Amino acid sequence: MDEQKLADLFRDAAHDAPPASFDASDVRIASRRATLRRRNSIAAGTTLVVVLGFGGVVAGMNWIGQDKSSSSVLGSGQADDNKAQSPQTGSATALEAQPPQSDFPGDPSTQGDGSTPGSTGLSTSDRAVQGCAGVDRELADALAGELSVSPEQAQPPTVTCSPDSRSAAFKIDGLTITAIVTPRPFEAPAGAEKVRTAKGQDLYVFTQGDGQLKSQARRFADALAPRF
Amino acid sequence: MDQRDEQEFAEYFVARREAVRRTAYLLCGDWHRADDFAQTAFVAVHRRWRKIRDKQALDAYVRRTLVRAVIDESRRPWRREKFTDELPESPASDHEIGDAVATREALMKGLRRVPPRQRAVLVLRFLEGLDVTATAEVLKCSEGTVKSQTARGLTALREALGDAIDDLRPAS
Repeated sequence: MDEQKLADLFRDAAHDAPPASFDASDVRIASRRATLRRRNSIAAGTTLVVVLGFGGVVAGMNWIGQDKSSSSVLGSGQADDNKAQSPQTGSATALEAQPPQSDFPGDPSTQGDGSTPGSTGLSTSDRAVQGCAGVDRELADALAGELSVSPEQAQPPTVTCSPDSRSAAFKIDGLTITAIVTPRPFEAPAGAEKVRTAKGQDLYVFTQGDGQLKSQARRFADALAPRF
Repeated sequence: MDQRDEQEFAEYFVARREAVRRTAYLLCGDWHRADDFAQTAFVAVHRRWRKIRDKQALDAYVRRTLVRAVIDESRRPWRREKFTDELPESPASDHEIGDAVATREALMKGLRRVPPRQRAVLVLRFLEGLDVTATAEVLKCSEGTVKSQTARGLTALREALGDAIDDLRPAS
């Protein structure tokens, strides 16, 4: 086979070419367009990577934050069954971190979480730790009413009693009038009046010192007993 | 590109456009598609003009881009070449056209039935006049591959042409 003849056949086959449909300016335009398209694709890809990366970081931080908050909630000492005891568990997460609410308003709480109805002023947290070391505001209010003095003048008694006792004392012109309500035996000073209260506890009223109301301890005891 | 580069590219474009178009035509068999492939090759060169330090290698770069574009196009599903005995257009009878045109038509029909890569080897060797080494450089393959592809391409071309072109009959 003659390669030269074959080459002539190939050249002759492509000899009669029609006019070209493109020129140098078309090539330049297409080149710039392709370059611009490539730049745009690179910019779009970079933007996508940045957005996805930023979103991933934000999502990761939110996830870590949620993880920490849930851990702190579980570690707040609140058992899961506390949520069931609370009558208002609309938002369990918000309430879990708060002390449990009392279901019975009349029941004196020993957790120091609110004031007892019927008493004013001094919080029950004082009573929880005192016995005769502090003033029971309800008893002070009642005794102040009988003595016609201000409840703010109440003061702790100078005697000792059991921690579950309630006490209040007023000092009027050198005379100290003390009232103690206790469920346990109490070694009262001489001259003390003892009365059984409506709830079955013992009410002791006694005076110390000298004053106009010295002999009226019994009257005060009779007046206070129905209330306790 | 600056003005000087644009001027250099314009000179190269004018000098090589027709040759590249002819090569593309023999590779694909259609002048419209040949122009598309040629423009694609020149656009690729224009985009990398400043990065091409060896201007002597421009021809090789254009040939490689062109061949790759044609072969890639032939592999696309909507462009995939199908071999068929029935041509979409009925050819004119030989007595209506001259012998040269008949020979040209026969060669183009035969080339269409040669696989794209073997066709590229034949075009580069017999139209562009490249030797085995240069053809291997353009196609990024070994010289042995070029030789084997040349032999298979010529065999396929002979089978496709039959007795249409006497020059392609193997020497006995």
